[in-house]
Amino acid sequence: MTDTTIGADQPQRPPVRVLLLEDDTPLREHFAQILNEWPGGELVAACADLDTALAVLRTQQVDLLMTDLNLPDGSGIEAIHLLRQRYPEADAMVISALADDETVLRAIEAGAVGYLLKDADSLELIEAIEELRAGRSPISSSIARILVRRMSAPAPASAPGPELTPRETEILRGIAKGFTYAEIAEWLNISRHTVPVHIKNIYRKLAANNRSEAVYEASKRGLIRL
Amino acid sequence: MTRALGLGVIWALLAILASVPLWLTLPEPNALAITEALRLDDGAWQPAALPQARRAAGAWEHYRLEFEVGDTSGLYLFIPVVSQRAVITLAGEEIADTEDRTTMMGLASGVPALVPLPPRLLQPGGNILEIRLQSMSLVPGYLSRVYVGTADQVAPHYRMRVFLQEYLRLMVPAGQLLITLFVLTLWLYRPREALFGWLSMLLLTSMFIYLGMMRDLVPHLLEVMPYLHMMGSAASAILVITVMLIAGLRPPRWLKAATVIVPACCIVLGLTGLVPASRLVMLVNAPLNIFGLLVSVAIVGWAATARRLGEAWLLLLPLLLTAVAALYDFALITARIDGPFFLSMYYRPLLMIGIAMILVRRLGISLNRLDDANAYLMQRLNEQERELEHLHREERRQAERRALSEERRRLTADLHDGLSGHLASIIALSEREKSQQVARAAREALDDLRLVIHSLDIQDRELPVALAGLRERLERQLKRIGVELHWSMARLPEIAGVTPSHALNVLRILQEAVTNAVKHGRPSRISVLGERDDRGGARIVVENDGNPFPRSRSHGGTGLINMRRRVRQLDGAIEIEPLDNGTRLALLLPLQLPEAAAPHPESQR
Repeated sequence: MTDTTIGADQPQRPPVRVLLLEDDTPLREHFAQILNEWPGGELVAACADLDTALAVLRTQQVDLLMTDLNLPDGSGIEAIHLLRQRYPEADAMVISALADDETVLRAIEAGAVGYLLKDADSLELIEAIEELRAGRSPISSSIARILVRRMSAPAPASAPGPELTPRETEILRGIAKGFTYAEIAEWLNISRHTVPVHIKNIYRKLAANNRSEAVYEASKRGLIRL
Repeated sequence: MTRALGLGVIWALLAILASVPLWLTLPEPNALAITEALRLDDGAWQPAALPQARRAAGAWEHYRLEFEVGDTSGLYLFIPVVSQRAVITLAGEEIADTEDRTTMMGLASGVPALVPLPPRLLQPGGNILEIRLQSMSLVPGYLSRVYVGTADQVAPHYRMRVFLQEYLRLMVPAGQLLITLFVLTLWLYRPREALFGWLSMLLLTSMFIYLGMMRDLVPHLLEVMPYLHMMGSAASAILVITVMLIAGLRPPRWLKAATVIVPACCIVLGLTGLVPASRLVMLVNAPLNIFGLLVSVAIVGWAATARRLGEAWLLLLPLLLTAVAALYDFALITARIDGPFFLSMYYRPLLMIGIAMILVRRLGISLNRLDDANAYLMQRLNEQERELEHLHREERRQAERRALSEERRRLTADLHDGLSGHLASIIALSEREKSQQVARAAREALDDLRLVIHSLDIQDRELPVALAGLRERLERQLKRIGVELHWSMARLPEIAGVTPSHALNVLRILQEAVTNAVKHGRPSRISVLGERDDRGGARIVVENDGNPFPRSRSHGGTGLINMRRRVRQLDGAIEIEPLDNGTRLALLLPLQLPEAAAPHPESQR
């Protein structure tokens, strides 16, 4: 995003314990190397399949899970679920090729708070982690658009969770329409720095909407189109 | 408006017609009129002036008339009105009894008589004519002036009297019978309408009194006549019920019960002989009839004025006249006024006409409503059909869209999971191997793939969404090489007719413009701004602060050629101008993009 800035290094902070789950070997090794070189983090493990990752999650503490979604033995969403269950304070980040896929949205609804593009270089990777830890994960216009479309459609499985406030809805619509944060802030007459706060709340509410399972199941069976 | 006027005219005519009996005096025949007579009172002859009215009911009276004639042949005695029976004797010999040819039942009071005077009983000079007058039951006796004249002189007057005093009265029950059948049939076909039922009952019960006219056929009818009157008095309650229904009131239960109980009680009382039947009729049934009428008039008057009911207006005048007639007749029976005629006989048709008008009005209104309902339903049906058709079309379009988007989704997922994953893998590998060229090529391939996948999901009027996707990618690309991006599409007007291929063309043109700027201009800052074009279209301007773009065409290269080819498919234009410090490329787009991308000749001259 235009207004993302690399967070100031805070060496006092304990390193972020990262679990990497990626089945593609070159990518996994690439990311693992970057994380190993990063002083702010500590790579707990770099797993190639879901089972291994779940085993690690059960035995070791993790602050951040970075996971691919399509794994040979299941979906990364399961790992996110276990993470949320065992370490509610931990964060999850999806590794995706495009960041506009519906599977990314499902991961967000399972509790993921950001995404990483597969072709990210070291700078981007570290920046994404830092933004996420600072509670400033961006939301892509494509994801916002899927959300807005879903909100305007007559919901077959209406969410029992917390509803978005009108302000949050407006921001989501603005992003879906392709406005930049600066344009949205100007349009809504709010500070540019409050836009990420709202987005963080949107993430939180999406995850709290416990419908993800139902929606996931329904969409898998072709009952609804996301 | 015209309807109200028409009804007004009809009622005015009827009212004038109804008032005729009150002011009309028929012309006198041009013959010998006898205006003086002698009446036998307590064995002595008293002079009495004709007409004689208000004579006690249920008694015989004896009159003696004297007249002189010249010619004794071809003479007739003409009595315009006698109530009720006259036995006429000339020179001591009975020559006529009106009973022989006329019924004089109940209300059928006041009949004319024409009696030929036999020449053998006449003598030139004075003749003595004796009339014994009988009045029956409740009706006071009446004897008008009498006339003696030739057939030519008196016959036309007699015929006129017969028409008015006999035929006209017979027409009334005939008409009522007709309307009764009409209403009864209506009721049978529409039993739900309580009013029709009560109207039928009203018409039926008020016909009992006419049965007296059948006396010629059934001689004993005279004895049961008071009981028929009693049965007929059910009509007084029924009339009130009918009127209440028309006024929109709910008739009380006891009133309905009264329609049976009152006549039944009277009949039982009469049969047991406790009270003479005629007295019952006189003291109970007749006053009840009048009372019912007055109540009905009050209700109808209230409904017509306070409630402004059209039907009440239709009934008000006939009811008023009927009430007046009933009062008049009551006065007549109780010998308070002169005259042999009962007005009720003549006014009854008015009430029937009123009732018939109400029925026909209801029928007409129902039919009109039916027409309206039909028209409305027809219209609704058409609307529904149109809507259905529309929905059908929409449904089909949506199904097509769904199929298309499902196909797109599958394709996207394939590209996403497969190709893009592989490309990302290649990038990671090549970076590890430090082969920058492969990494850059793979990155470009992945970026282009993203462009394609992203544009596949773009629908009409969603160009800003496509542009946002491009912005997100450009931000990354430019950040990586340290170029600042200034981007705003807030002022870009809405563009319609956007298809995925349009979107891809726009995105590729802009991507190419940015790539060229970076490659040739080496700028520190690139701005991409959407705005309204002065010429009524949209414009996206890509500006960089690097080296100015060379003017010579030879530097165009394949990138520019591809851009121009794409912009033709968009019906747009590209303008490139070097700035003092940098280059500006403007992509001009129409607000309505061309429909299906026409197959453009790919040939490049």
